[in-house]
Amino acid sequence: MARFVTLAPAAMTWEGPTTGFEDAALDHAKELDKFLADVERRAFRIAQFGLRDVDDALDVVQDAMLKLVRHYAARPSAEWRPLFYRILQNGVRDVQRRRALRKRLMGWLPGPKHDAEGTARDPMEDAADPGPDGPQRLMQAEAIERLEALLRALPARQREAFMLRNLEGLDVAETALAMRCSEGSVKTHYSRAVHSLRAQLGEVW
Amino acid sequence: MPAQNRTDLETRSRALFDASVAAVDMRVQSRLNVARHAALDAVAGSRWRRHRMPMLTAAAGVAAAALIAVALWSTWPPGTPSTPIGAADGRAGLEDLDIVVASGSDDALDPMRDDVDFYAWVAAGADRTAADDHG
Repeated sequence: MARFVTLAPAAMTWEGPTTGFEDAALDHAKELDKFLADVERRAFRIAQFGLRDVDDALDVVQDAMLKLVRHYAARPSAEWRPLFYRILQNGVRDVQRRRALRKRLMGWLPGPKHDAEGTARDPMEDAADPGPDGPQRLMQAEAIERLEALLRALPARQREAFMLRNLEGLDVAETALAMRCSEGSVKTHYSRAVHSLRAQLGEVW
Repeated sequence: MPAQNRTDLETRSRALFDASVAAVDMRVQSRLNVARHAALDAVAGSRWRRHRMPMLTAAAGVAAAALIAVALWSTWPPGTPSTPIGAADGRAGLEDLDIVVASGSDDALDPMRDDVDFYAWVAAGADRTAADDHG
């Protein structure tokens, strides 16, 4: 009887490696969940800027989440953000390439969903009412539509630099990691993007 | 980028983008939630496999080995030597050769050995016949 009394507390207070591992994994999963929850809507809008299609944008975001979690979850959390946007941009480019190839090969098929120029659905149609009503909302929708159109007209690297630096708020080093280029290249692409946008929006804005 | 360093264009475009992010509708938000949970579930499953599967594999290996051992032991005929059949055959051949060599005679190796008396009798008979002929 005394033996059981002696052994019981030890058994109850023992914390083996499995328990410690599960706690760490749980914390890690929570941190990852929080990160993804923070970036998912912005990532969706970034993808929608490039693809002009809700379903394609959602697919690209989901794929980016899965790849980040599978391949980079063990990396320091500070690296998740640029890595996630790198994966996202690669996904957007892949879809754009597939569309271009499909357009070349099967251009005779009607496909308004995949028409990247002109007839695709306006992303603002899928957006809920953000608050302001009437004319203000309309002006905002027009402004974002104009910005999207100008961003699409930019060279791909300038567009990426502008979106990551300004819209997503990544710093130069993070943007360079996301774009897989030097920080100097980021500054150059970004400066040219701002110059080009200002030349076209300056009068309006 | 620090807000104070932004130009009007940068500030306004950022504000527009933020507004469009805030305006993402509930249907899209719901699908994003599902996508996020699917990604996290996928990695949770792979982590479980990575850490649990080696233990399960080892346990399954031990169980399989034990099962094979029991099956072999139960199906082995009683009284059968435990040595492999081929080895037993080879050993028996060597033992037979030892018996032959150890016998100290070459009877087994000389087929003419049993007929010596017969040949001696034939020869003796031939000698007698020759003596009778000369005599």
